Amino acid sequence: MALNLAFLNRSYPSLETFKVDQEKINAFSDAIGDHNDYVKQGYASPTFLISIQMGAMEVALFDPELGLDYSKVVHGEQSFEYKKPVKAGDELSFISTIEDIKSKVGNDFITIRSDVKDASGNEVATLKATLIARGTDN
Amino acid sequence: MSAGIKYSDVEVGFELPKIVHNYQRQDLVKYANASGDHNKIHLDESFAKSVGLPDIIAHGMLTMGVASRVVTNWVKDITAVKSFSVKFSAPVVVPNDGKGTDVEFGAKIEEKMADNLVKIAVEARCNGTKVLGRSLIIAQLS
Repeated sequence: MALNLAFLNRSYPSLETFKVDQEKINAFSDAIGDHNDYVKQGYASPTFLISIQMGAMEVALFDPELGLDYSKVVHGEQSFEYKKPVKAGDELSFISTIEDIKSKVGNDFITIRSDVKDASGNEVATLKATLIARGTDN
Repeated sequence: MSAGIKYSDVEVGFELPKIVHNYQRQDLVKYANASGDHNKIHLDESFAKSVGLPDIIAHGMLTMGVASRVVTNWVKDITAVKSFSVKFSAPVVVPNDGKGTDVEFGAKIEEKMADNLVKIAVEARCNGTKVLGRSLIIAQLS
């Protein structure tokens, strides 16, 4: 099933800020086994922001008009570029943009970029996720 | 916080200490709750099999998170990590056998760049199969 190309370049700003607290930082670090001192000092593990991006992506990914079969979705690629570390007390806003949509050998690919800023408007990080919806023949 | 590792002390080819991480079913539940990713392919065995997977598979992002520790355990400083990118090349299958699945993580300095930056190639293997494709961390040493 081909994805709806009309979704290309659509942007989804966060409707509310995401408040980072020590509890969320601890839960994430604990789940990946990161027991470094920076966690106790209030800093999040490097991939923590994925927990924000997942929620941001759902608005687009679950839109029936996109035509994505979410039951067939696996994660293909992920990247993070960091401008400053995420810490407890941060209030983050983000804009997620559908940067690429393509179909290749029966599989659908969608790439979403999320630009994350803090309450003062400083850039915190840029995330990119590429999801693959496996075709029924695979 | 300053990076404990000096740029002048490392050479291309330097191997960071390896990590072996054991994945069990309850670890996937924990990760789903912490990350908000409740996709049933990570949580529901009959669903995973119904969409053509051999069994429940781990979140790719759990593997990326564990992989980050190879570098952060070494450099100790979160501000040192400038970028991290991975490709997921094979799933980590987690059967309900009480033993779980071991994945071995390693990393090697691939290039020394300007401004005390180093390019680190990260690897992850499960039963000999690479579960990460080309995966890189750029870190700034002191």
